[in-house]
Amino acid sequence: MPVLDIEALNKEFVIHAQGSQRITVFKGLGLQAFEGECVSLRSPSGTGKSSLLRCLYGSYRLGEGSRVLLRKSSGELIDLAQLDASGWLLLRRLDIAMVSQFFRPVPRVGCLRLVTEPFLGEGLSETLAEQQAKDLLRRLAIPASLWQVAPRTFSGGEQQRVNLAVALASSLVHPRRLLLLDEPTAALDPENAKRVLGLLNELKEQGCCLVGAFHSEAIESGLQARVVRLQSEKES
Amino acid sequence: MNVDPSLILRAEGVCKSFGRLRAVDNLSLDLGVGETLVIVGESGSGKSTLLSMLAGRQSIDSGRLSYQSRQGWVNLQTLSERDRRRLSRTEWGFLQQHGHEALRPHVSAGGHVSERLMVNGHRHYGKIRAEVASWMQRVELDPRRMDESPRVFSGGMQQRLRLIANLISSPRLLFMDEPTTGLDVSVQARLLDLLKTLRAQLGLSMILVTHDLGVARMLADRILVMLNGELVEAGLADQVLEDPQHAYTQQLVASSLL
Repeated sequence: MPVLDIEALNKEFVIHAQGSQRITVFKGLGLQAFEGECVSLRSPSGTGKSSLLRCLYGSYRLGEGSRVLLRKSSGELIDLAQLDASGWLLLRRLDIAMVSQFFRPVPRVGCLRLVTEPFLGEGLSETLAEQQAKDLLRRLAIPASLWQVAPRTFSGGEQQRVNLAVALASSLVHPRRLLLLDEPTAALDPENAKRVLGLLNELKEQGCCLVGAFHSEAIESGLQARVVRLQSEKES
Repeated sequence: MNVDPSLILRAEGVCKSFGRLRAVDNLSLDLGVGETLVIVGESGSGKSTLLSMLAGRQSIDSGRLSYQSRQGWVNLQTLSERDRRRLSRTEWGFLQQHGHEALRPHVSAGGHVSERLMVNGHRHYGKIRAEVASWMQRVELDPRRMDESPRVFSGGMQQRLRLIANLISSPRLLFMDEPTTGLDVSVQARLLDLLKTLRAQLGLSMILVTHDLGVARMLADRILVMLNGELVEAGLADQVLEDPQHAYTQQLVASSLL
């Protein structure tokens, strides 16, 4: 029984500034992903990998006629196309998480605090949450000298690791059903990519279903990913 | 009457006109408990009018406004002035635009902050001062300056004073009108972080209006977009900012610096 069963996904953008031009991204796209599995989306840039991930996280509205089934931790089967805002918020609290390509932390907040907050959100005590946050930062090789510093001034690779830490923290306390990854290792050197791989594999072994765009065969093989090629609607 | 326990505020078909101008046109919204709702729109879109109506500071022409108080649902139009005032000092906070105008120069900083405690019946001078000092520390204001006039505080400090003057009575719902406008960016960031922390610690529900999409992105669970008194778009914060549907929202997002 799949965790994620995209029976049909439709998505188009209407751009009003260009005379209501319609851009079709997906028409009847189908995909299944299972518990403890990693699916790697592969296709050239601009062909909808990020769009698909954003549709699955609810950042993009699902087009009319879409039917995207997700089996929640509670066992309940829901259609993402039918969710309202509060349904999405609840789903994000319990069942899905996303590592996005862009990191937009609250300015001036140190990275230790940023990583502590999701642990607090999971109901951990202040002391325990901070302890876990430190462990996670250590694991991702963010030096302690940077913990009180806001990540705005960090290098690309450091920012990406803090982004991962913030996005994955809650999953370490309560594993999510579905983890969406938009180029999570793009700015990382091989050493750091390996550290991230270890973390992702751990979540996968706990039964989490990973769907991502990786742009890297090393990462794909490290996660034993099933590669899926997206057909672009723009070309056809 | 409403029974949904997950909601704290509900507006149904609210209208308000000033002469021939329809400032707010048949607008409905729900606010969940612990949720942050941000209303964006340009100057003159009716968002400040809407906010002051929701907080009962301005009458509505038609529609219905309901609020779930600690005692249960109340209809805000039929509420007596006395009850409305009681609600607004015990369960609500209202941070208005241009906060400095609301601060009186002859009342000390600490006097402003402790006002609500006094009105709500607290009398022990020492305890009140300790409470004020602890709130000042929370927003990084020096408690030793408690007895100074707010006039000698900077704009950002005045805004933080106004905020804690609202928070000291542990409100359940905070209304804010352009809370960060006119503050320098570093103070703005500090205030946003503070609001996020307090929301997590106190379980506050918040509804705020702003024209700053960056502020909306930082704080909002959901965003509503207003244009000419009407709601043209509503959705999750990231939905509205990343996949805007209405022509006006698309223009707004495309013009944003963030």
